[in-house]
Amino acid sequence: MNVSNLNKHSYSMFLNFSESDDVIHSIISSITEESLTPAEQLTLKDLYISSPVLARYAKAGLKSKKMIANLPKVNARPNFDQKMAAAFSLELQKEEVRLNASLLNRKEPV
Amino acid sequence: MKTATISNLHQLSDEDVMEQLQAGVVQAFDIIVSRYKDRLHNFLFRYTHNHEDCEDLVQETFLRVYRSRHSYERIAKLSTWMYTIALNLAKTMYKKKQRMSTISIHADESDPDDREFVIPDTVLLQDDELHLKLSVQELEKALSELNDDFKEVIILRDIQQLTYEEISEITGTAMGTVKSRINRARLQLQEKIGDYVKSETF
Repeated sequence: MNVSNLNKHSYSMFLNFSESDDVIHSIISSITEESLTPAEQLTLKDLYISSPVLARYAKAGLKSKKMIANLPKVNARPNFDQKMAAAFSLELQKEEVRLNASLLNRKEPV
Repeated sequence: MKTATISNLHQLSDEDVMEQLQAGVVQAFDIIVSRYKDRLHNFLFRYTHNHEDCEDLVQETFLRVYRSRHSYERIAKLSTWMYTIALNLAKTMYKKKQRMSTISIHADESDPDDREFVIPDTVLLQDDELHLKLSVQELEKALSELNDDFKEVIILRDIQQLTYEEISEITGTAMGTVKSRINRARLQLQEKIGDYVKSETF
C-alpha cells in the first residue's frame, strides 16, 4: 500500500475513517506487517497524528501480532505417529473391504 | 506419472507428494503426516485447548485428506487445502461443544458431600516464570473469546503465519474482508489483554 500516495491527496479521509474501509485496512495491514518502504515509514508519524483511530489500530496490531507470534508452539505428542499409523491401517482395511464388495457386486452372475 | 521411491518422496514438494498418493503410493501419506502433524496440531489446539481432542481432530483431518485425495487439484497449494479441511472440522467440533455446554452439571449446594474442588497447582514457579505462564493463559483466553470469524483469521495469520491470499482462500472470504478482520481482531485482542499482559513479557 502506498502511503505516500495518500499524502499527496489528503489525510482528511482518515477523519472519516470507517471500519469497513478497504483502503484504510490495507494501509493498517502494511504497517502491521511491516511492509512499508523506508520513504513510507517516514510519513507514518504524520499519518498517526492525522488519524488517531488509524494509529490505535496500527499500534495495537503491532503489539498483538508480536505477542501471538511468540505463544509457545503446541506440537503433536510422541505417541501421535503410532495412533495415526493404527488409524490409517484401519482406513486401508476398510477401503479394501469396500473395494472388494464393489468388485463382487459388479461381477455377473454365473 | 513416474512413481517415486520412498527416499525420493522426501525430496518432493507437498504437491508432488500428494500426486504420488493419488497414484497409489501409500507411503506418500506418511510424508504428508510427518510434514503437517505439528502445524495442524498447533493450529487445532487453539480450538480444542486439550491434546486428546486435538489429536482426534488432526487424525481426522489426515484421514479426510486420504479419503478425498482424488478431489485435490494442483491449482491449490496442498497446505491451503489441508487447512480448509482442518478448519471445517474445527468449526463443526466447536459448534457441537457449544451445544453440549448448555447442559452443565453443578454441585448440589444442599449436599455437603457434593462440592466442587479447587485443585491447587503444587508446582512452585519463580516470579518471571509465573508471570509468563499467566500471560500466556490470559492471551490464550482472550484469543478463545474472540468471535469465530476474528479468531480463525488471527490464528491462521499470526500463529500459522499463512499469507493473506492463503487465508482468503481457506476461509472463502474476500481479501479486503480478511485484512479488516485481522486488524479488528488484533485491536480487540489488545484491548482485552492490555490490562494484564505487557508485550515486553513475550
